[in-house]
Order: sequence, then structure tokens, then C-alpha cells
Amino acid sequence: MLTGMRLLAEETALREGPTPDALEHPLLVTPLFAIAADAFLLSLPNGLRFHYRKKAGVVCSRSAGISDAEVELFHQGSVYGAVAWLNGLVPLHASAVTHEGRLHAFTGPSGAGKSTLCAALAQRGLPVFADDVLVLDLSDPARPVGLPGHKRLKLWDDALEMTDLDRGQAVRDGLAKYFVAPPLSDLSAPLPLASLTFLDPPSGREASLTDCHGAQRLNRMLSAFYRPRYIEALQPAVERFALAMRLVHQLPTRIFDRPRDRDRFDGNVDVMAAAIRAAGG
Amino acid sequence: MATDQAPAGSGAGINWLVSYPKSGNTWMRMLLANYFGETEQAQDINRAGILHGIAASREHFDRALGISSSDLSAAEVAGLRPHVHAHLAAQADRPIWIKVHDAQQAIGDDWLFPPRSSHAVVYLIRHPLDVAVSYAFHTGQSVAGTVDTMCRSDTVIAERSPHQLPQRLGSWSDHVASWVDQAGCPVCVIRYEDMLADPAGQLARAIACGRPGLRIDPLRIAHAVEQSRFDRLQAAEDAHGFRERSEKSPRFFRRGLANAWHEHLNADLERRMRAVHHAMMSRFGYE
Repeated sequence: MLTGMRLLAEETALREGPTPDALEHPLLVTPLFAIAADAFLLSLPNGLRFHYRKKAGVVCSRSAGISDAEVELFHQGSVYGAVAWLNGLVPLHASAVTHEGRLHAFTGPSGAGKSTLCAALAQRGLPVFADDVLVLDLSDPARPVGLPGHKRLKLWDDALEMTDLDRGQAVRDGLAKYFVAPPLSDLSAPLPLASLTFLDPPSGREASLTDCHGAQRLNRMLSAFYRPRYIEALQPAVERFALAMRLVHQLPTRIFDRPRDRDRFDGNVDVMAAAIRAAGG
Repeated sequence: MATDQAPAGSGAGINWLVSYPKSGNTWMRMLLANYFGETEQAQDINRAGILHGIAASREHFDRALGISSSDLSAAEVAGLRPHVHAHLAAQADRPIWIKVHDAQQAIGDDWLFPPRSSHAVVYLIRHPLDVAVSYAFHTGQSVAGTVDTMCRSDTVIAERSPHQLPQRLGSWSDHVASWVDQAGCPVCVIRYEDMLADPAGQLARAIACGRPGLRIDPLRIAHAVEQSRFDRLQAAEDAHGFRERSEKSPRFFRRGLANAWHEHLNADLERRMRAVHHAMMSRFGYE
């Protein structure tokens, strides 16, 4: 199972150099990114640009004043996800912790609280495995396996307040979002994914963790794919649906609805930590 | 090769359901959802059909542009939002409905809500003194602070929201003018007070604006009005919660009345609102 891990490490290897203005034979061109069957181009408004080509790694070019932290931010996000898709891996928009050799992942749109929840679970002894992007290797037909993510979480200042973690370097000048070393992490080896939890916007009710059933599972899984437009350009709908179907059949899926009031944050995390421990290894 | 300029759908465009906050937008969305819903059951207030969320949704932005809006500066986000709207419009094979609280505004050489992406605007307006009281309850801010918010031209909301992008409203009058005086696409102005008096008639007007040529079914109108009654929305919120409720407010659907501002707005605040918004209030019949 090291194959997927090594492949991802080699293909996402980053160096600086010249980058093209456009891709040859793109499948999709948008204002910020273009994707082809074997290449990806990300062009940010600040002049930072990444170009990936299969078997050639990632090249970035930047205008003066762009920090290494900014390069890391986008390299470990959109670029990382695109490279995974282009190499037959499946990135989810998810963060994950480990318990007894298995992964428990949380997905939801930006702002759903994935990173904050993982940071707080790490404080309760559940090590962080991936933040924001969880890449799956599906080469074992029996079970999805997650590949370890990056060393640092990205947390907003209000998440730092709730978790009482120390602020690291700002991800970009002017943004109140910071790189943070998780209190506990486990990035040593790929691990099987044991559950996927959808973080819903709060309905206003008490914290609840319910099984996800029926057709909504499929729609939710499709929306859990990292940067859906990347995969929509690369694969026909029937293949994407088949992929989502496979995952919902192989994974227990749950919905976590919890109040977002700060004074109930610890109680919400306790609910999730107890559920993970009850699931066992 | 696909681009956002080459529609995946027919590029039918977007019906912007626009209002200053607390002016009847949610009620109109539920009326539309219950009208266009294909069942006899009431639409779920948290998952109403036919509606595509709010234009300022971070989820729309991130999905359309393949990047996290939270990794970009406010200026970068603002400059890219017209592309998000172009993408959403390109995907539509018939006009879709999207909620808006932003003021219409220029973004470089473009508009935040570009006419090329727009099918029509339904603008919901409410007596600003009632808005001030309702908005204060919604945000947990004082009525005086809310009046200040409504009188300032630099008002921006959701600057720190995990789910929504920052939205520039301007003052209440700025907001109204930015939409009703734009010439990029057809505008239908609906007064909240007229919705209270004749919800069926105002719903029919909104449908006629957003879906011209569609035969309006009086039975579906009656169904939508019945299922969207204020007391039913309140009961649904009590039973299931409402995802748009502010953390600062015990409930979203509070009273929904017209001319209830007298109980909460003192004479000084009333004078300030009238001084700043006199012209726009007169234009829309608000005394």
C-alpha cells in the first residue's frame, strides 16, 4: 500500500521554475484553473502559479513578495487534490483522525468545522491524520485506504480560541488563518477508512449523530469529492456515480448536526470522540 | 473543451431574489419552493427545493472556482465573484432562483451580478423602520446599532462568516437604489406589506417575472400560500430548527408583522432613519 503514498509524494514534489500561461489540450478552462488529462494549471490573482504535468512534478512561479507559506497553502490544497485525481487517487474534502489503526473522517464545505473538530479531537487523544484533503487509495477493492496528509492544520483565529492552541505562521498576510501544529498526529502509514461523517450547518437543535441513509448518501458523497469540477472534467458522470456508490457501500456514513455556539463546543467534541471510541478499531 | 463561457446548460440565467436582510426574502423563497414543489407536502424549511442557496455562499464560490475562498483576500474574492455567477448561470437549463443580500455594484469593468448571467430581479422591500427592529432581533445588536448599520454607506455583513462571503450592503437606501435603478435586467419590486395583504397576488407577480410565459396555476398558488403561512414556518422552526437562524436570536421567524416598529424604536432613532431614507421611503409609499 506504500505505492499510492509514494506516487503522491513523487508527483506532488515541488520546484520553482517557469510556468506556462495555458495548458495544451485542456478539458476545462476556468478563470483560476485549467485541467487536462495529464496536466493542471492554477493561476492565482496575486501572480502565484502552479503547473503540474504527470511524471514531471509540480512547478511554481511567483511574483515578488509571495511567501513560502502562501506557496505551501495552495500547493497542499488545490494542487495536491488535482494531482491526486490525475493519478487515479480519490481526494475527499475531509479531515481525519485515527483510532486503533483506523481512520474516522469528517467532510463538509469550507467553514463546516472540519479542521477545528480534528484539532479538538487530537486534544482528546485522537491523532490527526489529514486536514482538509484526505486522499484515498482504492486499489484494494475490499476497502478504501487513506494516505497520510500534511504536518500542519490550518485554523482561523476563532478556532484557535476555542481549542486554546497556539497560533503559528499566518497562511497569508492579512488573513486571520494560521498554520498550527496539531497536538497529536499520526502520519506514519496509510490506514483503512472506517467512517465518514458529514458536518451539517447547524439546525439549532442539540448535537446529534445520525446514520445517513438512502439517496441522500449518494448526493452527499458526490459533494464530498475534493474540488468536484476537477473530477467532472476528467470523468464522465457514470464513473463518478459508480465511484460514489462504491464508497457509500463500503463506508458507514453519518450526519453530525451540532450547535456552533462556543459554549457548547467542548460538549459537541465529546459526543464525536465518544462515538469514535465506541466504534472501536 | 469546456469553459464558463460555454454553458453546460442552455445558459438560461439566474433570477436574483434580492432584499436587504429581514425584508421577506425567506418567506418568498418558501412560497416559491412550495409553488414549484412537486408534492402536496410542505417544503422542508432547511432544504427547500428549486432554490440554489445564497449568492454569497462560500460553497458556490469554492465549487465554481476550484479553490477555497477562505484562502483568498477579500479583494481577491470580490474580483472573482462575477465568474461564480457566470458559472452558475451557464449550468442552468432554465432560470434558477438564488437569494441575494449584496447591493449591486461595479467590480472593475464588470458588475457583481453581471447582466449576462441574469434573467430577472425580484426585489423585496419592507418598511425600513420595521426592518431595523427585525434585524436587531436577528443579529442581537441594539436597535440603535442596527439603525446606524442601515444608515451607513460602508456597511458590509458576514465579514467573518464561515459559510458566507462578505457582502457589501451600503445603507438601506443605497441597497434599494442599486437594484431598482439598474437597467441590466428586468426588476419586479414586491413590498413585504403587500405580501402580507395579498400573498397569492405577490407570489404570482414573482413567478411571472422569473418565469415569463409559464401558466400560473391558481391551485398551486393557494397551496403555496397555505403551506408558507407564518405560523406554519414558526412551527417548522420549532420542530426542526432553521439553519439560517442567527446564534444571537432564539428564533428566525419571530413576528412577521408590518408597522410593529413603534414598540421598539425611540423618537431619535426614528428621526435619524427618516432623515437619511426619506426619499426612498416616499418613493415606495412608506410613511
